[in-house]
Amino acid sequence: MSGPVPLPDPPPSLDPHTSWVDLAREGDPAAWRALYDAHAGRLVLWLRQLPTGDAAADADDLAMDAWTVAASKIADFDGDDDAFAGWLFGIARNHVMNIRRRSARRATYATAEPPETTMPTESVTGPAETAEAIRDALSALPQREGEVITCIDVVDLDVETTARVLGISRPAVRVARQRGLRRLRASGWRL
Amino acid sequence: MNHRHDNPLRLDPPVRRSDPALGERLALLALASTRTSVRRRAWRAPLAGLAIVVGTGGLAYGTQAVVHSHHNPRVVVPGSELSLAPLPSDAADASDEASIASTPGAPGRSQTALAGADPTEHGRSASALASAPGQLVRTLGPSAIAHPTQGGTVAPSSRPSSPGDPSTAAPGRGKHTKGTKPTTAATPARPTARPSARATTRPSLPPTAQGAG
Repeated sequence: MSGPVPLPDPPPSLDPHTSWVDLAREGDPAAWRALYDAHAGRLVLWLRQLPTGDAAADADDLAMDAWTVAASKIADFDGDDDAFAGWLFGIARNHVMNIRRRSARRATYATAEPPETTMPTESVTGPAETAEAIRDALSALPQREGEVITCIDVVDLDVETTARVLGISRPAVRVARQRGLRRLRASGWRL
Repeated sequence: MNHRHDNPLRLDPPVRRSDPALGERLALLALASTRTSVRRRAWRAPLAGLAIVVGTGGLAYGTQAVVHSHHNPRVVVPGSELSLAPLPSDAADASDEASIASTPGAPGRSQTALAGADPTEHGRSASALASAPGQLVRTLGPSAIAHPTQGGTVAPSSRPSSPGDPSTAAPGRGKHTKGTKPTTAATPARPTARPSARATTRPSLPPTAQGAG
């Protein structure tokens, strides 16, 4: 396991104002590889934390779909390297939302009431928790709070990118994060 | 951001490394989308110009059509198509009609009603008749009298009439027939001669037109 790979500097032979996104928009394979190396790992991690409601939906497949859509729509994106992560994660989030709606439409339950999702508080003991425990804990939070904490505390996105991904303001991101952390502390998490 | 040891929620992302094939594929997708986008934007300018030209031309054409739709001096009104009223069946009806029509302000017999009676829509409009009655005089003549629909039994030359001749004035012309004696119009009418009399006396000529005739 390793941390996110930072974006390398563009080749010095180019204009100093040229970004990797500009090169990727022009169809440079090296630029796409650099962008992929910088964001693909965090994107997969973030997608693993999002409940899709579909057991067949794999995070790697969703991530690849997001990359494909991003490559197809890069001509309409006018941001820089800093904004690319938020734009890419937003594409993936829209894809997850579509899958979630589709799963809710097709869901069938043997009982009249859908099964409740309970947080396994008995297994929460500290920083050595598994990703599954964190995912279950975040899924018990309100949707916005869970998404904000996933972006900031789990995937290590900044507030600006998180606001762009979720389509909310930065103050709303901070408020949602504080409320979510308070709920997690009340559940036994030592944060 | 908080460090890994400070935040128990922090997870290390999985390692995902690109390969040359993936870079090439994403680059090709980007190039295809860029070309499509450029092509789509390139269509906008000529399309907008064409829309402006067509819109401006259509507006100008419509304006000119509206302006010129009220005046068409080359259209000739056949006299038969300006029928006034059903023919009186006998002399008594004719005299009654003439006495009513000779009354100033008699309804239904005004010049407006005359000029508007064009059911075939081949003649001139009401406004054109009212504004230029002199042109109607020129259009009415032997040719109008000899129109086959009028019966044409009266020779136009048998009774040459001038617009100022009160004896030829048809009854029931409202204020333009004030000087006409009702007895003249009340003469037992020859039904076949009525169209010719109407054709020659129809125009409500202004004094200048009467003098010129």
